[in-house]
Amino acid sequence: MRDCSWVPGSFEKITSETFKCISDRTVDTARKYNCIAWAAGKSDKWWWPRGLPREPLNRETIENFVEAFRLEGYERCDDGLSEGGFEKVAIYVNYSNVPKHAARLLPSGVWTSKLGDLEDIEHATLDALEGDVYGKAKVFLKRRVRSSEGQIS
Amino acid sequence: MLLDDAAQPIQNGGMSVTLEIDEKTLASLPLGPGEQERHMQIELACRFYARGWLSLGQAARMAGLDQYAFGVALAERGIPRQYGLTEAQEDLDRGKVAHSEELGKEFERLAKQWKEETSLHSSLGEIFTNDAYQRIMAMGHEALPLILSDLQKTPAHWFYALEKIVGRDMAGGADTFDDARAAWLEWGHKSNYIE
Repeated sequence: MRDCSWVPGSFEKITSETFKCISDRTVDTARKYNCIAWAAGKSDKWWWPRGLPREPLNRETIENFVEAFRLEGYERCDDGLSEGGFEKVAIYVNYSNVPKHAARLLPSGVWTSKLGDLEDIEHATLDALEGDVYGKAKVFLKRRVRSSEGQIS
Repeated sequence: MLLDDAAQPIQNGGMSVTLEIDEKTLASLPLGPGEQERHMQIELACRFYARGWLSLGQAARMAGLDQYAFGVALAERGIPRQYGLTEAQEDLDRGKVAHSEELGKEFERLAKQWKEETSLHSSLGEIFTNDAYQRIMAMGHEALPLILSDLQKTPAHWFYALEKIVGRDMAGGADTFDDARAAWLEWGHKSNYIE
């Protein structure tokens, strides 16, 4: 397990009691996927909002991110509260409404996030990562939980 | 004064030459016992340079001085600097090495700064518009071997800078980070930017 002691120093609202480090990945593997891919349950690609990080910068809009998640079966919803039969994603945006981060709600009720090209963590609340770095969780999406065979339940 | 015709090799790769000077003449030189050998070495280097037998670099090495200090020694003796093709090439080579070393140090500093400042971000806006990243891009083609070498050592988001500097996307068909990295490194090898 890697040392995540740096996390509380980087996010003003998080404390050592409200998050835990869940990755033991090396930097080499961690740079291959990012928070958006991780929020959609993928750890083999870098999405921003789709594809490799060489896409034009003007694609950093909420609409493009929502569209990327729509193609993965998500639809917009009102909040990040647990909802039976659905998995949820929250997109953090800055003061200009530019997406900066995404987190995924786990069945246990806590959120999971990939922090840039660093560790994956679980955090008790969405506001734990809110602040200067990622902005605020303002856009929510959900999709029906898929069974192990990939069928929508 | 006689030059010994059996010059002896010395440890630093040079040759030891013995000068035979009679004691009376030696005593009349305005030099202390500990200064004689060093001064003669410089005097000979200046004379050989003045006669055109040695280039500035060679004469400075013979004098055991850097080129600036040797230039001062020449000026003190009223010997004009000769600046021919050899000297020009020496200056050019020295300038290229110094520039390359400076560029490498600057790249290392900026790359470290960029990675530290963007490690928490997935956002392309944050990663590519970072000041240190932009300054590396501004280095242009000179940065290519440095970027590719860094990409060779650790995966990092250099694809945007590479595409902008080269003017083409050599990883256009790549779908994953690994594929894009492999495509750029292969191009780097073929283009002799990296080994």
